[in-house]
Amino acid sequence: MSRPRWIAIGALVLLLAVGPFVPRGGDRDDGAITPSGQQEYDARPAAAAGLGELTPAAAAEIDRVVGQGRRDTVAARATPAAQAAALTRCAEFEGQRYCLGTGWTRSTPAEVRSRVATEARAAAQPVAGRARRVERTGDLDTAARLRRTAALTPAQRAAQERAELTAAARSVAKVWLLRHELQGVPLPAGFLERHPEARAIPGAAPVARTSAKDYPPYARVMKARQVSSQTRTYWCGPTAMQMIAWGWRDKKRAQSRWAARLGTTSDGTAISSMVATINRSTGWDRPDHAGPYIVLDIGDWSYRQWSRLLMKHIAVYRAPVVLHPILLKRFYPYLDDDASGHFQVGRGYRQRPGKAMAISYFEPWDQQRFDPSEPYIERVQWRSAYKSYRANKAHPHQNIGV
Amino acid sequence: MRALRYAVPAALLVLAGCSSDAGSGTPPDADAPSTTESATGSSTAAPAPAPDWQPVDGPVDRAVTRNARGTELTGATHRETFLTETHSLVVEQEPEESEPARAVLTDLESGKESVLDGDSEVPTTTGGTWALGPGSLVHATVAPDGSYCLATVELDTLAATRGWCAPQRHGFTGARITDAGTTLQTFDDARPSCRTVGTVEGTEVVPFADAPACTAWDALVLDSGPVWSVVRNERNIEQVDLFAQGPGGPGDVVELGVGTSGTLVGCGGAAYFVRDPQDASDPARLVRWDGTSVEVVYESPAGPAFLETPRCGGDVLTLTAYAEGGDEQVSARVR
Repeated sequence: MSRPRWIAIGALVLLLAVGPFVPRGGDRDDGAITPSGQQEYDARPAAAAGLGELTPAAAAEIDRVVGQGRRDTVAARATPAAQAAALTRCAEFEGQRYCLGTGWTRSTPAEVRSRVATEARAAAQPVAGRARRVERTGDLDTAARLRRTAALTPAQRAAQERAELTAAARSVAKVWLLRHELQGVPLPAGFLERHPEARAIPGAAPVARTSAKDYPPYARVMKARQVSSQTRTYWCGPTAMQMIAWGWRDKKRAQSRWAARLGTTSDGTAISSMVATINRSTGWDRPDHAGPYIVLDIGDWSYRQWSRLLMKHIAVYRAPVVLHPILLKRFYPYLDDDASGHFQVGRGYRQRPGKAMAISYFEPWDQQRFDPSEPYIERVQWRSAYKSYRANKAHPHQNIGV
Repeated sequence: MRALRYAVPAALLVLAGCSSDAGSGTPPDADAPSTTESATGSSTAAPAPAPDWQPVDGPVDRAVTRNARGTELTGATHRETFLTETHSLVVEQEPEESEPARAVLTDLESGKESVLDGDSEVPTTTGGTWALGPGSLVHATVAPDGSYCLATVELDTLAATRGWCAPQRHGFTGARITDAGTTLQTFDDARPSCRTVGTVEGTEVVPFADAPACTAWDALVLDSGPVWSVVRNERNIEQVDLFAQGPGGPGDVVELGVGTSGTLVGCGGAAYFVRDPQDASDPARLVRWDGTSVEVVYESPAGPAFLETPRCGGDVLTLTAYAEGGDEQVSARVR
């Protein structure tokens, strides 16, 4: 192959790897986006933070973490533990921690590295007596993510990490608001002065919403008829993305298009690509909706906090959630078999006083398409919120796209 | 307090709601009662005693199945496991489902193992439903003409036969075997599928006389007659209403109340199913129908909570509860 062709291929790979993380800036090109204007909810002010500016301190932190990666090279054939140690690096942005490939977390870097190494080992070889290899529906497991990242050239990896960290740094205000409003963490002194993008109403401070009574008893977004089932076994990511974008633009685009944008391979789709593509390709991330989507580690979130997060997202942000459960029969008893980590589109809830909370989601996985021994079920489903919470917590990644 | 929580053979008031919002995406109104009936009033027979639930040691997510002779299977490490007092059946399937399933049937008395796979006289196929009963097992098979069929293997002779075959553009799942017979859910390729439950009788599947067309999900038969579930709302596929044939025979339908799809099991001559919490503070419950009365025989730790599908080994039932009040795995003889 000629040198120019190699260069062209390399540039294309880099573009695909970095593309999803390139922020579009604080001002939106609304001319390219067509809000449907037909959402099934009553308009009310949202309280999401928009994209912030990249501060010098954040830029320096990104330089530090990316620079460390350039020094700590690791081979694609290295052990999962070695890959986890080299590729799981964390940045501190204004007191919040973002770990590459994991998202915003309150775990220590050492805890995250240990967890990632354990996940990678388990994904590569299930622990004897505790688990087995299962059918894959399309989320990218840790071992595959590490392999994929390790296979990049140092320059490609650095560019990808810089883009991911930059997007994270610019969304730190949203993380602070969620921690404050849902987990009761006090905002740091001067936060609102430093982050005008965090004010839904100029001059107003965010209000902690700690009770279900702070939210309407019922809310949902997106039209129930704008749903589809994945056409490949490993395309839950592209199909979830297809439905999320369809709900915004009121126009359906091919799953193959979303697979290309997400960088989906037969190993699946990374949740970091899901949130980055929502930010890049829809308006759900506008400040009057959810603000920039982030990957949030919910390992330390109680059920109460997790359920409030969904309520806030759907009733206040008026935007869908990237649910990230593990598709085990114990959580989804209608399935015929256990399956892997998975993406669904969270889009509704119901919380009547004294009653168990239910959530609504769009399910990309049509088991009948790939297994004729199972009946077809509807793509729109309602179910126990607690089951979905436990399915999210049981996923080795324990994260969600919000 | 644990003993108190386990000992809850409370009479059950059946609340069978009937609402629908399939067109709008609104959740089903599980709380709205439409008819009320006390199933316990259908018989004067004394209900069986409540099971004496005992904790199972080890991680709760192992999905243990036990029997009275001390055999223990770990479900988490296999595609499916089945256990009776005399046999175990462990089914494996590689994740890509490109090869037929492989199952090992073990005679627990002699220790003899028999393999069922794609090379068997009546071969296995990829995926598909499996069930193990007191005298036979069933699995899916593909006939030489491509038909999707049910194979039956006699446990004493290992003689295998191909029986009922689904019509074109139809399939089946949810096989269950009890002393009273073998049942299936059959379905077509409509969206949603038209689902029918019935009993396997030779090369036929005979629909339950009182189960509705197209909306059923689970099925089994007891000596007292069929037990089945019906999906209330296709957009809440996990919630079903359970029904059973009463002592009056066909036409005498007893409402057993709300349950969770896929969780109906036969064990020790009775039917059991899971009921998710209906109220915020409710525990998850296990409900038993013994042919004459319906009772709650287990309550999880404090909710929110849910139960995994119960696992039967002969006369021993093992349960896993996931709850904010603490997860637990418990087991009890049920006959």
